[in-house]
Order: sequence, then C-alpha cells, then structure tokens
Amino acid sequence: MDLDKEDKKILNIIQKGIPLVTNPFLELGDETGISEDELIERLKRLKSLGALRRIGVTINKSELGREGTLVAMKVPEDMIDEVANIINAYEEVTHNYVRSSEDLIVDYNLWFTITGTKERIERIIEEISKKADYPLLNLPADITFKIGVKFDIR
Amino acid sequence: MSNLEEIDEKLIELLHDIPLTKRPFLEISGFLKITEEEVIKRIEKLIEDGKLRRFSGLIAHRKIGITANAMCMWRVPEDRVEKIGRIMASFDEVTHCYERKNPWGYNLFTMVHSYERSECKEVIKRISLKTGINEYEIMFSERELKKV
Repeated sequence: MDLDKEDKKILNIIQKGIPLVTNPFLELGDETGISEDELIERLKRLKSLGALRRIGVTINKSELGREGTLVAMKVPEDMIDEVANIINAYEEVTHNYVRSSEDLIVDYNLWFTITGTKERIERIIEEISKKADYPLLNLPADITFKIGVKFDIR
Repeated sequence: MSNLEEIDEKLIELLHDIPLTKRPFLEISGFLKITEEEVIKRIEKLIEDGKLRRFSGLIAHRKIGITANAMCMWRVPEDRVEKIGRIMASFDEVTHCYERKNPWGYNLFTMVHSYERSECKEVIKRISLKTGINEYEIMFSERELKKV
C-alpha cells in the first residue's frame, strides 16, 4: 500500500485519540501541520484503501457487563478451514488465527477470542465443542494488564 | 449493553464509526435530537466513567504491512506476576498483556506486533532481559481466519 510520510504521521497521531471538540480534525491538523480539509480528504482516502478501519469508540467490555476470553483448539491441519467456519459463524468471535510455536511445545493451533456475557461465552464454547470434537482450552484472563492496540507506523 | 441510558446506547452505536466531516458530532447530534455540545459532554462522561476505553483511529495493521503477530507466553513465578505484568505492559510494542492460567504452566501472555518476525523477537528479547524471565514460548500467527 502506498502511504507517504503525511499518511503515516496521520495514522500514528489518530491512534492516540481524537480531541473532543466541535472541529476535531482542525485541532488534529494543527498538531500535524495539515489543513482540516486535507486531513479529512486523507482520512477518507486511507479508509477507502483499507488502512484505516474506522475512527470511533472502543467500549470497555467489562464495564458493560461483557467479558472476553481466549480459546485454543488443537485441530488437524486438513480440518482447519472446516472448523474455522463453525467458529467464525458466531458474531461474538472477534478474531481467529492459526498459530504455531517454533519450539512445538504448545501444539494447539487455532486461537480465537470470544466477547459476550459469561453465559453466552460458555454456551458458544459448548456448541463449538459439540460441532467440532477436538481438544479445546478456555483461557480467560485473570488479570488484564494492558489492552491498547496502538501501532508504530514507519 | 447493560446499565446505560438509552440515549448513550444509541450514541455509542453512532460513535462506532464517525463521519469524516468537519463537524462529526453535529452530524451525530442530529440523529439523537440533542445538541452538539451535549454529544461531546456525553462522550467525555462515558470515558470518565470507564464505559468507553478510547476514542481514536483504528488501523488495519496487516493491510499496511504490520503482519508479524507474536503471542508470547511467559512462565513467571506466581508471586511476581503482578509486578512483571506491569513491566511487560509498559513496553510500547506490547499491545495486550494478560495473566491467563493454562496447562503448560505459562501464565503471562503478551501480544507483540511488527513488520517482521525478527523485530517481534527482538522486542521479546528486550522484555526478557528487562524482567529476567527467560522461559517463554512464541507463537506467531500463520493465517488470519477472522478479524472484526
């Protein structure tokens, strides 16, 4: 993807937060030395290119009665896509990755997260286990030290 | 969503992906039949009360080349988990840090994202040096099957 220096500066700065003022992009523009009009145009372009997912709020799940968990499954290589279809069908599944460890100590290969109420999460795990009978581990967080997805774009 | 005023629920929905215009809060206020000023006040309050974590730009990191994604699991002595967890979280490159119990005996999980796997590994090495924790396992993502 073709991003110039200005685009990268914008992507870095908007991750830190959007000012809560009537003209947020005017204020952000002042910080970056880009005019309000140009900043908005660039943001639209970055969004249409798919570099920017959205500008908006991130809710605090636990404050709103929802929890999150990480689930690991051990699925045979040739069954991964089929099992992934079952898992991904739940809208509460927020991401799902095939992972492997270099030392091969941990041989669980499907890692996905579920967000929802405690009961809903338990229900989904139960259903997935029924539809795809492979070893599964539910690994909820006991302590959350950080959730702050911010990327250093160079 | 629970324990929120109806208007805040609607507001949060509208704030998921704000319009890219000069006065986004004015536009949103029109849907709620409240003033622009009240929209801003309500967002401030929701953040202050901890209902909202952030109001920011969210990046499609994989699309722009940040494709290396390492989940590192660390084996940390039980009585040091809190202290070490805070140190690990303080690294800019660590996007997530949790304590999670599991059968392998690792207890801290950190996510590190970068352009190259080698960069993730360097960060993990620095974390190991700073914390003195040298029993860990890195799991890189091989394939993204879903990302909301």
